[in-house]
Amino acid sequence: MFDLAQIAESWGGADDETYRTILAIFVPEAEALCSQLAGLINEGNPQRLQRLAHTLRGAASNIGATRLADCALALEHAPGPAAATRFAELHAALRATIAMIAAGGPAAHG
Amino acid sequence: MDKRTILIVEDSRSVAMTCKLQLEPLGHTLLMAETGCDALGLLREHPVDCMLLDLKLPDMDGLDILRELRQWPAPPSAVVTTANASLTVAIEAVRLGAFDYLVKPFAAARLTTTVANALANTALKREVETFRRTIEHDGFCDFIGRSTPMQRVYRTIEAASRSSASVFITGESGTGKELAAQALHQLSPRAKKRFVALNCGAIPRDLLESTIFGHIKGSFTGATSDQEGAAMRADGGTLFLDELGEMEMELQTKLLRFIQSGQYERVGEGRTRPADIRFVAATNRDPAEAVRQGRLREDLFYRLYVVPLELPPLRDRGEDILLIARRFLAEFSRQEHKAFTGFSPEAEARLIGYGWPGNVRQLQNVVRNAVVLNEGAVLTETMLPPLPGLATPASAPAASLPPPPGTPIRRLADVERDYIEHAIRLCDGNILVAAKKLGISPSTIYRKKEAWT
Repeated sequence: MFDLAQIAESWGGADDETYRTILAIFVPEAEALCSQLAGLINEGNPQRLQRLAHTLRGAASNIGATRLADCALALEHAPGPAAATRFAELHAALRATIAMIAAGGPAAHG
Repeated sequence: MDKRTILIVEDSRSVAMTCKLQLEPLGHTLLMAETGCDALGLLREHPVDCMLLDLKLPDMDGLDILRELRQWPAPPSAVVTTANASLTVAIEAVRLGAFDYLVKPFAAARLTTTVANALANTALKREVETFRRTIEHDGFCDFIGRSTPMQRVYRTIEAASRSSASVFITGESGTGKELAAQALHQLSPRAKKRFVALNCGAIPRDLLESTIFGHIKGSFTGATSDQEGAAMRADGGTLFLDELGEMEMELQTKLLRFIQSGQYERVGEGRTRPADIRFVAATNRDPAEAVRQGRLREDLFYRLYVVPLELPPLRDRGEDILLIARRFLAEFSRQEHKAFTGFSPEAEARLIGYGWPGNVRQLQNVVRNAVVLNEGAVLTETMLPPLPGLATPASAPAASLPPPPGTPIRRLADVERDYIEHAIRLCDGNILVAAKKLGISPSTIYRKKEAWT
């Protein structure tokens, strides 16, 4: 779910104080992006969908949430009809990531 | 290092906050923008030294911002951030002038080092730019001169031009206050919009308000049609208010409200209009004294006195006097189809030694006068018009005194000739001036001179 080696390299470790501050900012941001993505899937707006998926990928990779970042990348490049499936995968990854953060973040699971 | 301003352009809040928290310990001012539009707005309003730029923004491509910045004078160094480890995009960004790029996610140490390098790069670029401008043209923008006091002026203009902060210029008449205001405009991101200059002392008091704000038809006698004011013309650009102390107090109040709110009303119109204006004000006297005397509102003064800029008098600028005189000589010789190529050493000594109470404007008039009234390749000392204040009363002509008793009687024609020649010498060879002072017509002198030879 999280790449601990990358977190160590970028942040000095998952128990870093700044890292934990950013995790707290990330959760509502990712939830908001995810609900916007759901709306765009229904609307069928591939261009904006790609943009927002890209933003989510950047935010996820920033905190070392690799699985979520991979799902966002897959959605970014998914052709129209496949977008709904990719989004479902992304949604599941986001739920799992948020659950892990709520349970103390990657430091508690390291 | 001085406190610098860093702009973070990033649409993800958590990524932007990451950069902010990592850069905060460097002690600089941090600005944040989530969209390209906000970023360009902040770049116009603040003197940004380094920009961290996400390439994919909700409203535009980060590369478009780089393209726009390339048109700006002395832009901040940009560090591009991208989630794509795609080399082509990074190369394109660098080709468009980006200083460096970072692939997300990046480590805190990598970010702070890259930003520190970018800041050093900006500082160096700007220093070189000021230096280059000065060396190449013996001056800066439309200023001529490279003396130490002027180098200080150029540096202040260069630094202040990047922000929209108000600038208050002081300096004696003829020192170039309007040139300084124009330079601030030319070097600013507002350069493509208009520079509007108003001399508050030269416009009739009852017309100044409508000149600044405009008016609508019928708002006062003589207002036969709608008229846009300086505020509308300077929207997005720069408004220069010279001789601010000459403005009536009531109008100063309206001006202050305009500066604070960014809104104004045309005379006779009931609605307000917005205007985005950079204000530059000037007085040729001490503005603090004008405040004490109650001619300048204190709150208006402090609102405009954000960046003070004092222009030195010409007498304090040393060799600049000759640089400027030579430039004027070349310019006026060309305009007047004359052959002057330089000054004689004596003429240069005279120009350097004079106090120039009227500053550059006076020097300009002196050179123009000499070029218009004389011919030749070298402009000599005798061709220069009289410089007021130089012919001191102490050297008053002895000829004006009655001759001592016992002096043999001389022919009146000889006395007249001696005296006229003496007057011409006192007027530095300028027959027009000598004739005026003698109370006779110049043609009389020319006629007599012909008879003497």
